[in-house]
Amino acid sequence: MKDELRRAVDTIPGLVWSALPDGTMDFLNQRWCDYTGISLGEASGVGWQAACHPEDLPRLIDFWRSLLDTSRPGEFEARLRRYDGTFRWFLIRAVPLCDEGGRVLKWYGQNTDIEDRRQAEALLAGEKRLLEMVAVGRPLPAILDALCTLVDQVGSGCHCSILLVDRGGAQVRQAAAPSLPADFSRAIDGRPVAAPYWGPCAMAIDRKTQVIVADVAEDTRWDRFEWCELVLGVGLRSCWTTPILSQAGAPLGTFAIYQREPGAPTPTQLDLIEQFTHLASIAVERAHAEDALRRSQAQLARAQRLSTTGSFSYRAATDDLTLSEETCRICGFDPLMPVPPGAMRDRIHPDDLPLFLGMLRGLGKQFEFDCRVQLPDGTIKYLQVVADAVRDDAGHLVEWVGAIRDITERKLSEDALHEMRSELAHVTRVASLGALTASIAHEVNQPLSGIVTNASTSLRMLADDPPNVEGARETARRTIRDANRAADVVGRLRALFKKKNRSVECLDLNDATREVLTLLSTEIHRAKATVRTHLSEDLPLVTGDRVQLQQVVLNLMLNALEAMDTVEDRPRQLVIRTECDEGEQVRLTVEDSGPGFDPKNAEKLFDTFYTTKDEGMGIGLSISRSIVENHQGRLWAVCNDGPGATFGFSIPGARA
Amino acid sequence: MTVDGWLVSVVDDDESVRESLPDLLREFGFTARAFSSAEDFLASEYIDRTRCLILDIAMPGTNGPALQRELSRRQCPIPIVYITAHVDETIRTRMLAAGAVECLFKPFSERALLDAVNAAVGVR
Repeated sequence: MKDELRRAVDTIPGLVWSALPDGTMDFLNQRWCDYTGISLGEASGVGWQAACHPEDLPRLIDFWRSLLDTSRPGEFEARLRRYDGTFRWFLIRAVPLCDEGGRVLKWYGQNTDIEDRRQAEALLAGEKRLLEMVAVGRPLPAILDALCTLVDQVGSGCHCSILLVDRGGAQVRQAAAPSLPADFSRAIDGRPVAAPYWGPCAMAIDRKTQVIVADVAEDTRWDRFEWCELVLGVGLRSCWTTPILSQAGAPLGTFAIYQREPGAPTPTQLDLIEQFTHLASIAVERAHAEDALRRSQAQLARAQRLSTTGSFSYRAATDDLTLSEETCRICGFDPLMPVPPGAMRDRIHPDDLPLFLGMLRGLGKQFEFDCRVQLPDGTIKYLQVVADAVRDDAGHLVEWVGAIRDITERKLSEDALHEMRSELAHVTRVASLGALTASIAHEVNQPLSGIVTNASTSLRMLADDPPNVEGARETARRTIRDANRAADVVGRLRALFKKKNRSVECLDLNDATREVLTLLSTEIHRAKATVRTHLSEDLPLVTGDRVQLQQVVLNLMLNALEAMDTVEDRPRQLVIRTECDEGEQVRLTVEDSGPGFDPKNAEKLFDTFYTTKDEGMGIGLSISRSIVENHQGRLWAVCNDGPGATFGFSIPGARA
Repeated sequence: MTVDGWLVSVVDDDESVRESLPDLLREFGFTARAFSSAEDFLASEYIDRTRCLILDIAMPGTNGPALQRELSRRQCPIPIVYITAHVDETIRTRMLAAGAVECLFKPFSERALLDAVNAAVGVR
């Protein structure tokens, strides 16, 4: 019976033991002795302690003592040495056998091999740590180093090395080999990838296949190179190298495991290798992607700087504005600091802000406009803004994404050019006016000369004694003829300045006005004025000459803009109204916020050559009036209640 | 009148001048003849008889100053009174510097004309 029990105890798949109440070992089963290589005789008492890992022993003794003191069952994990010297993790369970009084009669225990579980746990924890490192963007060398160290620990007695293909793809770079001698790593760094292969790693990369060198001493594939000597020189005998491939299948490098003993990997080891190679590829690809992203961001930033174009996005719902570095620079923000809410709004020139906000709230798909920003130091910059609306499936605005371009220099040179042009135009006008005057004078002086001479002759003939009446009559007749010639000259001049024929059509004054506004948009912008339009929707058509009426509208708007040229203390605003008043008269008014005019001069305004402007000829309003009157209409001007003046005309609608 | 027979020639492309001016000159007692172009005058037999030339500056073909140069080339130094409808002091200054007796702007008074012609014929 006892033998039978003994056999059973020896057969239990575990290391079984018993101890006296004081903790002295009095029995260890055969499996225990087989595993540790320690005989029952050697192990009894405290001899068993030789089997415990020196690092674990002090804690194990403490634990054992605490069990003895409290007489309670317990568990402890410790490494036990196998007969061959390798340590494996065991779960040590101890249970007391007590009498009815609770006194311990004997301790029984069982040690279970938990090496595989411990290894899997360590592996899992290591992998988790590595993935965290990848996720938080730790530098690639640190990640690969940690990866090698983990594998070195898990697969006890092995040495890992990771080689990466350099950017050109022709050479390998030693990326990590924490447990290999530095000389060894240096000897491999920079070697070519292409055949003939100096070693298995080059072959693994180039052929994208795992290469197993089970015994370096026996392998003849690298005979032409000193790789075998190198490996054997540092006491290694086998090398298993596996290519690290990108998701697209491109070789990124190789993951190699060197061992001190010859041999080929077991299926479990192959699984591990596959797992870590995959991890390495994730880390390398991520690093490459980040590198590419960094490079492309740097490129973008440089391109933005070179083209003085920044980008931005604006989420209307959250009022969230994101500016690129260049946009910050253009608008005078520190690119390193977040832009406080509303700060951008404050930078935009007050006159341009309504336009800007209007566009942002608008329903359009895209907008493009010029606006000014005012920097804290008072500098004004001109920006060209182009933005696209991003909408969700339901069509709601998600955000605006766009570009901002600093066009200050262009704008300033444009303004200078424009100034030069208008100066030139004025000079030309003055010059041509001089030439015109001279030629008019010449044309008129000829007949006048005849008139004076004839009149003189006529008087002298009448004063003759006897008076030459017939001669005087003849010269008087010539006087009349010359006077008529002078009148003809004046008539020809008038015809020269008059448009040949009016082309009469039915037209929409609103359309005609919008065309003029389009034509004037640059001028309006240059004059730093804003335009509001109130164009009546049910405006009757009018009959008339489209071009002539547009000339009148153009003239009124130009006058209004010019009148506001000196206004600095209030918005320069132009209000264009069309409406239909009683009696089916169609009326158009142009209201400005300029200095207005003296009511005493209201009638003179429309006189030819009456002008309040230094450069004006004073013919614009008089021509406008004659055009309007030719359309059976009326042109008038009134002073506003506030600043400025309103000029307008009304002509009959075509409906009546 | 003592000036009888002294010929005053008028060269002007403007017809009203050609019609009116000789009549006034005759009233002054001169003999007058009008030509519509420099070419007509040069082709006429009156060059040698002309004591004063009233000459328009701007004319199609040979203009006033060109005629003056031609006459000087032919060694016929006829005193010249220029007339022009183009009122420009610089032109007047230039003409006087070139040897003209006077340069009158159209329309001119009979007094100014008479003074100029008298000055011209008195030079001889």
